[in-house]
Amino acid sequence: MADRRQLLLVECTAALDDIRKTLQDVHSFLSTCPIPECRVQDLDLVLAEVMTNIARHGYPGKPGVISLQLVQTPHALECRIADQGGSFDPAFLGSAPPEPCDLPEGGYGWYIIRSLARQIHYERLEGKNILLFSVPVEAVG
Amino acid sequence: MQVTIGRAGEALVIAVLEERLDAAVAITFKEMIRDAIALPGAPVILDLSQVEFLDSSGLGAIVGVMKLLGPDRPLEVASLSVSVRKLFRLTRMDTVFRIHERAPATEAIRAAE
Repeated sequence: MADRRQLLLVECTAALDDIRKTLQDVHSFLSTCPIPECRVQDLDLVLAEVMTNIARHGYPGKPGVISLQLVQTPHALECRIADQGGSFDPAFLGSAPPEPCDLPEGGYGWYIIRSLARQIHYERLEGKNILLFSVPVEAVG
Repeated sequence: MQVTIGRAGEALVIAVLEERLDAAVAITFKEMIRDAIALPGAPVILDLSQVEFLDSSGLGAIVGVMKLLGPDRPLEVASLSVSVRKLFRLTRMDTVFRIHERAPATEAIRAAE
């Protein structure tokens, strides 16, 4: 389909240093595409939260692989993130944000993902976690 | 990661010279700031002008520094980029931290690495 274009398909290890480097590369690449910088930043943040969760909770203390696929459509960037770590409890998708006055040092990940991403869909398929979501993108130029 | 430490009047100003304050560097960041705040001065102002990207782990580390400082030494933030400011607003941390448009001019104390 002409209105769906695969932008990238990358794999990285579920190690925080490798995730950081991968997301720096993804950000640099997306900055060369006709996508507003603020949307690239939103996507960067959502990807960081999702992939950090996978490293910390999906593959706790053990090596693993995360694969990331990005497809551009006329109005969105569609993402597919897959890993073979422990299954994820989708109840987290509905978790409330922490109260800032309690000075929480964590617990914001899913709230951020939910705030910036749309059409979030999770499934466990043949031992894999597959998370699909999109980030809306208005056309540039 | 690198920070520079300066003084502006009574305030201790710590500039974070890091483009991405994320999960991979959050612990190192917190340790470096913990060392820096051994120097006297209040409030402590984090100059984030070089930080283009902040995730919830980086934000958590900043909140952790605020707790380390305790109630008598407020932690404030300065020079937030558009995306960093957006995360502060999204998490309502903009109601907890005093946010300066710009970091004050400082007299250098030293750089730490």
